[in-house]
This record gives sequence, structure tokens and C-alpha cells, in this order.
Amino acid sequence: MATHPPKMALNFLHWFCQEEYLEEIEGNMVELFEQQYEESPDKARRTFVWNVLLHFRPAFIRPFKIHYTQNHRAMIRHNFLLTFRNFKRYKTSFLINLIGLSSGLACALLIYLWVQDELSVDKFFDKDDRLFQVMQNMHRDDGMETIEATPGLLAKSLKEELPEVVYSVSVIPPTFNASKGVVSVDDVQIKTSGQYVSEDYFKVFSYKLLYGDKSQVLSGKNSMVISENLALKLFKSAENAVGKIIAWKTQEISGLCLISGIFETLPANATNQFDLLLNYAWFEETNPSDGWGSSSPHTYMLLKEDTRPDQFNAKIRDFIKTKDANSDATLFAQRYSDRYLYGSYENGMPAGGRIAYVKLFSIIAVFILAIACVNFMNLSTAKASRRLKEIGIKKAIGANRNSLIFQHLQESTLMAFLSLALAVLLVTLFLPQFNQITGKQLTLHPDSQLILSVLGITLFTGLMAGSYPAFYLSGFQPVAVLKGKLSTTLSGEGLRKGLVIFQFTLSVMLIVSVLIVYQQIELIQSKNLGYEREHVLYFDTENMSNAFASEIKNIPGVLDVGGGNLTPGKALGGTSGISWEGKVPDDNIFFSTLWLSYGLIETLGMEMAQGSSFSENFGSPNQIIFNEKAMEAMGLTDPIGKNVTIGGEERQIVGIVKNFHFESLYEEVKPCALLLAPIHFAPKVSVKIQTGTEKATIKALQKVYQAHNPDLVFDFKFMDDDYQALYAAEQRVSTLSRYFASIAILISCLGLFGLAAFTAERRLKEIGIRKILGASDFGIVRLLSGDFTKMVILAIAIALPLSYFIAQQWLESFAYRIDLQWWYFAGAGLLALLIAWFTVGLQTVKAARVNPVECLRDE
Amino acid sequence: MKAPSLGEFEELVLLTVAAQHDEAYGVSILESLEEKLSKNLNISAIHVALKRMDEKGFVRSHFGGITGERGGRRKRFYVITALGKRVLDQQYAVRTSLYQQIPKISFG
Repeated sequence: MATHPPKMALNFLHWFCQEEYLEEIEGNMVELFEQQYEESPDKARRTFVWNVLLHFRPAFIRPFKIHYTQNHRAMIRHNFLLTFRNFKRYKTSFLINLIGLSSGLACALLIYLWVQDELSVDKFFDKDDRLFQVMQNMHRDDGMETIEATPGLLAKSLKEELPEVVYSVSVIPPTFNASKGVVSVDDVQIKTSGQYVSEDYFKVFSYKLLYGDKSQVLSGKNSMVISENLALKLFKSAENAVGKIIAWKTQEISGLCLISGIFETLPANATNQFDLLLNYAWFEETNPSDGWGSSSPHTYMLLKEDTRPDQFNAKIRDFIKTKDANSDATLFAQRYSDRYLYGSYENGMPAGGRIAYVKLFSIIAVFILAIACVNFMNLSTAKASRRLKEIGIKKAIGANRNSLIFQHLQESTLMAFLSLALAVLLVTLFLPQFNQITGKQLTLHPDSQLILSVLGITLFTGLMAGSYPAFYLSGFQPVAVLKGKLSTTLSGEGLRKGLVIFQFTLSVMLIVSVLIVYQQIELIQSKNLGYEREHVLYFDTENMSNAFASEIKNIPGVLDVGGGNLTPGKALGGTSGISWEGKVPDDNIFFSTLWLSYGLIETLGMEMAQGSSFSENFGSPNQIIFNEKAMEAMGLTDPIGKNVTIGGEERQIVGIVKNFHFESLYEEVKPCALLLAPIHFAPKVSVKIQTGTEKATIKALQKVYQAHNPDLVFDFKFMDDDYQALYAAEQRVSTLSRYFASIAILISCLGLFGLAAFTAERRLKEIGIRKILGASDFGIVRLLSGDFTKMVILAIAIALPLSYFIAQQWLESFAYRIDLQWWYFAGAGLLALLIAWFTVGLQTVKAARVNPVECLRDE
Repeated sequence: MKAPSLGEFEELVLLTVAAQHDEAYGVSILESLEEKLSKNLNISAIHVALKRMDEKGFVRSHFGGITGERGGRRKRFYVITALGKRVLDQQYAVRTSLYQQIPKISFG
């Protein structure tokens, strides 16, 4: 009879039924099936299935024992032995696999450490989920600006009026004053950063107090709480410090304080770093909070448990309006620990921030791991043809599929763990360099979470990498394998090609990103800012005077000196209260204002477009200079000599300065007014010095400085360094992505190298025959690289549009950005192609030059 | 030792095995029982009954030769054992004696 009972049911029966009864049961059911089939084939099939199901009962189910329980250990030993023999026999592919996977894992590990560190920032507070900061949205002509500063009265009112607020504190952060303060005990002076905080500070922020009680330490107006670190510096020990009197001195506030407590030095992953705390009441004395219109302190609060942030935000949104009807400022609360990663705001809403880099690098880590994994899989499937006979023989002598799967998984997992060992070694070696690039203090200290995730990742990689050969190879029929029938279908060519394409797509995308990030960073670094920042140093001073200035000027090596409130990259204060002849009455141009003394424009080498720089020759010191942007906005023609009124004061326009970038290059140049100020007003002194003799000049400067500012520490900065620091994040991304991209490309190439070697080896006979028939070396190289070329070109075709899209997204955040040139993409593609050709070429040339006799002789 | 018990369905199967002496196998038992009882049975029930009685020692079995039928699977033929026969006899005796105690009343 040509009919057969349903296969699935039959297989199921074979699977569960005891050997002893199988034949009888099967025979009877088949007989019944054949009888019924003549009446109705469908019914016969249904009955058969039903009968099989009815036999699925304890009486007939076979006992489930795993076959290799007894020689379990022997089997594992055997697998290990085979694995090591294979490693020894195919050293090249072993090394390629090992290097590829371990560098991939090492990268992933490093990035993991970095990401963990980023995520841990500010998360160490006990009541982290309830600790919120109040942010203020200011409505400006050109959109909403979100600032941290809030009205000084806010903290108190919030606590009094809203039941959700348990504690709230006002904090004047260390960054509030442009300069740091100085603490002094006897003759020890230390410049340090302090903040003014209200009494409940330690109830909101759970920094650990070593001495003092958290509700008491800040009760006195002149109490001071210092860090353990500072206490050690000042008094050699923390106990000694408590109860001591200490002098505090800043530009605005000076006086004696009593040390009432010591807090543990802040962890490195705290964003707000300070060494001492002072009472906010003291700050308020000199800077009384005048109503709801002005904002200085930051406001933090501890909310009640189960407060829903969205509901709370709706409640405080218009809090200021209820106090001051004229104000259009709105408030919202953001979790304090979120501010590090989500620190950018758009339209008064948190809109990302550093989280973008965290995501970027997480993606890169996944990319690299994927590339390394793909490599491993590719090489394993390629290698498979060498192992085919082994598998065939094993199956023929009775190895079941499970043990073959187990063997391959064990092999790849072992490989993965070997790579992990190497990766850990690599990480320990490169961690110092990595820390230098990222500016972090990462360590590879084994905590349980790290160990678990690393083992998890490794196991996953091993299993993933081993799964394809394990499940694919073990499924072959032993007869076919041993007869050699499978060699054509086995190759898994399609999959392998797909994986290579995938790998190269990722690599090309990385190359393009590196090129573009690098170009953009170059643009920023070398951008002509409109002023010189090289060889210009600046420092704070207290009592600037003409005498001081001229003394500085007399130091050999000093080229120019000037004072002003200009710091590169910092947003400036400003005013819209400038009026001039012909101004449209409701014109509300906002001018950034800079206060400069004579000489600063020269010191910074700013170029004048019209008129001249500030000069004593004009007689009156009421001079003003605008930048070109301001001129455009004001619409004045022939402005030199005209008068404007600013703050009720007449000033004469003496010149127009060419546009310069005083803020970060994320911002566009804004209208700017430069006002002449007497030099003794200037909080910052800039000095341009000669190259070559910097050391001597700075030493001389310090001497002069100490003579004029005996209480302050000479602390100067180079403008160039400051400027570089502005783009530190971009620089880091640029450097890191360059390294990671190189590693990704390296890993991809290792894979390609291995594959090319494999192909060349497999087609050795073909090459021999072709050569005998007269093919040239070059022809064979072309034949062998043709496949790879096609794959790489396809990968490039996929990667370029993708990377174009991503690059555009990234560049949009810069006001001054490079144009995307076609050659970035063409270059990246070409580079990838060249690298691929080179890698493949190494192998194919070797294969092509082989003597045909050598490869055809043996059989 | 008390002889293992014999269930009702098992008894029917055992009777069939005894009746078809040396020619009894799964399908033949099934067909004969279906005809006698005029109802549909499932082959798995027969298999279970045969397996149990084999374990109890009421039947023994041997395989026939391979034929072209049944997809090349051999038949397993069952024969009743002495113990099986004795149990059947006992059962028959019990029933007959019980039956004869029924008073002769009319069921008209």
C-alpha cells in the first residue's frame, strides 16, 4: 500500500513508546489504518492520530533516562581533549577567534564599566527617589530658558504651603561665585569651594556626617561644616578640627567661622563637589532675597513618599505667579539624580543630555560584541567542513544529537571563557589609559553584579557563537556525511555572507562616524573665535589697580594686560535696557554685556571692524563698543561717535568689533555690548605672555600678585585650556569612538582573514586545476576576492545612507557645524574596501602562488 | 497465593484469546469483540488489557513472521496460559453457581 499514516503522530509514538511494545502497537494501528483508509483516508488519519494519543499513557511511555549519565565526566573530558586538539591543530583560526572575541569582550567590558559609572552618578543618596530639585523656566523672546537658580523665598514657601514637601533647602552652589573662597587657620591658607546651605541640608542630602548632628550642625549663622579631606589638610586630623575657629574669605563675604561638623569626603560620582558648607543665612545677610523677581539659590526638596512627580509638577507650575503676578516664570521639579544624565532642556522640559553618550556607547558596545560574535560563528561554520568526518563517525558509532550539540556548545563556551580571561587581562592593562581618556576613576573591582553580568555576557556570547555549528552540524545524516555528499550543501554560504555583510555594515558606519566626529571637533578646536586664546592666561583678583596693572605690564615676557568679566564659553549676563537714537520703542534686543578695562581688547587680539578700541585719548571713560551682530540688530548706520543710554548713563560708541564667539559654539553669536570699566572693577585679569619664557613670566606674575593680594592664592588658567575643557565631552567621544572603531574594524578584518583562508583552502584543488589550464596568478586573486568584494560593497551600500542619517542628527546640535561632504562617505567606503582587499589579498595571493603540483598531488 | 484478579473487560479479552487459540493478536481481538458486543472499542484498551494480563501471567505471547502487510511490522500472537485458564474456569464456576440460584419466577 502506498499510503502512510501521519508522520508526526508516528514520530511521536516512536519518541515516547517503550521499545518492547512499539512494534505490536504500531503494527496493529497501521493495520487498522490501512483498513480504514480504503473507506475514508481522512478519517483513517484522524483515527490514527487519536489512537496514538490514547496510547500516550504511563503503561507505554518509556522511562526517561539520559543515556550518558554514567560516563558524563568521561564525555566532558573527551570533549575537552578534542577541543584542545583542534586548537593545536588549527592555530591560526584559534588565534583569530581568541583575539577577536577577547578584544570584543574587553571593549564591551570597558564600556560597561563606563556606563555603570555614568548611571551611578548622584544615585548614592538614601532617599534618592524622593530628592528633587526645583527648576525654573524663564520665558524669553527666542524661547524658553531653563535655569537652576530660583527665588530665594521659594524653599521656605514650598515647605510651608505644600504638604508633599517634607524638607526644602536653599543652596548657593560653589559655582555661584566666579572665584573660590579661601580658608585660613594660622598661616595655612587653602583655596577651596564652599556652598551656602540652609539648616535642613543634611536631612535632604544624606551625606555622611563624621562629627556633628545633622539637625544641629548648621544652626549657627557662623557654623561651618567641612569635609574630612579639608580637615586633614588644615588640622592633620578630623577630630582636631571640630570646634576650631577658622577664617573664610571671598570677594563678598568674609568672617570667622566655627567648625561644627565634619562630613565624609564626597564620592567621585557626586556632580556637586564642595569642601565646606556655610549657613545660608549668612549669604542672605549680604545678598537679601528681594522678592520673587530675582533668582540666586538652587532649591532642593525631599518629597513625601508616594508623591507622584507629574501631579506635584502640575501643582508647582504656577507657584511663582501666585506670589508675583508680573512674573511669567514657571517651575518644575526634577529628580536630583536624573539631572546628570538628563541635563539639557528644551521648551522647559528635560530633553536628554549626557544620556545620549551613554546610549551611544552602549550601542557601540553591542555593535562590537555583535561583530566579534559574528566572527566566531563565521569561522566556526567555515571550520565545520574539517570536522565533518569526525561528526559522521561519532554519529555512526552511536553518539546522539544531544551529545554533539553539547560538544559544540561546550567548545564555544570554553573558547568564550578563554577569551574572557584574556579580556580581563586586557582591561586591567588598558584601564589606566581608558581612565585618562574618559576622565574617570574606574576600577575593575569585582562586585557581584559585575561578575554576574560578565559571566552572563560571556556565556551568552559562547552559546550564541556555538549555536549555529552545534545545531546545524549535528543534524546531518551520518551516511551522507561520510560519503562526502554534503560538501556542497554544507557551506552555509548564504548565512555566512549575510553575517559578513552585517559585520561590515557596522564597521563602515563606525568609520563614517569617526570621520565626522573628528572633522567636527577639528572645526571647533581650530575655529577662529574672533579673539586669541593662545598664550593668554587669566586669574581672579581682589584689588585691581592701575599700579598693579602697570607692575604686571613691566614684567618681562608680558605682552599685554587687561581686565574684564570675560570667561570663554560661559554664558554672560546681559540687558535689554539700551536705548539709542532711532530705536523702535518696543524693540527688545537683548545684549550680552561685557565689562572691560583698557587694554583687554588688545590682550585678546580682537579685531575692530570700524572705529578704534577703548582709549584714554577720548577723554571721557563713558565709552562703549558693539559687535557687528549688535549693529545689524540695532540698524545703526555710521555709528561711530553716536551716543547710547545704558542704565541711565550716556556712553559714546567708539568702535565696532568683529563678531567673536564668547559662548560655546553650540550657540550662535549674539548681539554684544562691550562697556569700558575702570580697571579696579575688573574681577578677572587677562595677561598675554610671550612664548618660550612662560615659566619665568608666571613666576614673576605670582610674585606681583602675592604682593597685591596677600590673602589670596595665585590661581591662574590658560584660556586655551578652558576652551578645550568646554568640549571635553566631544573630545572624549571623538577619541573613544576612534579607538572603538579601529577595534571593530580590526575584528571584522580578522574574520574576513579567517574566511578568506578557509575559502582558499577549500578551493585549493580548483585553483590547481585552473592554474594548470593556464590561469594567471592575478586571475585567481580576482576570482577569490570577487565574492568578498561583492559582500563588502553591499555592506557599504547599506551603511552609507544609515550613517548619513545618523550624522545629520548628531550635527544638528551644533550651531556651527561642518557640511557633510560626499567624500566622508566615499572615503569611508573606500577605506573599508581597501582594508577588506588587503586582508583578503594576503590570503589569496598566497593561495594563487601555490604550485599546482603541490595541491593536486595528494589524494 | 491468591490468583490475581481479573477485570470484566480483561475477562472478555482473555476469553477471545482463548477462543482464537494461537491466532489472537490485537486487531483480531478488537474485531471479534466489536462484533460480539456490537459497540466500538479502541485498540489502546485492548493493548492495555493484554499488557496487564501478560504481567499477571494469564497470557503469553510470541511474534509472528514479517509479512508484506502492516508496513512490515510483525504480529504479536497471544496464547492463554494454564493460570489464565484456571482463573477463567473459576470465574465461570462462580457465575454459573450464582446464576443457578436465581429463583424461577416469571418475568412475564
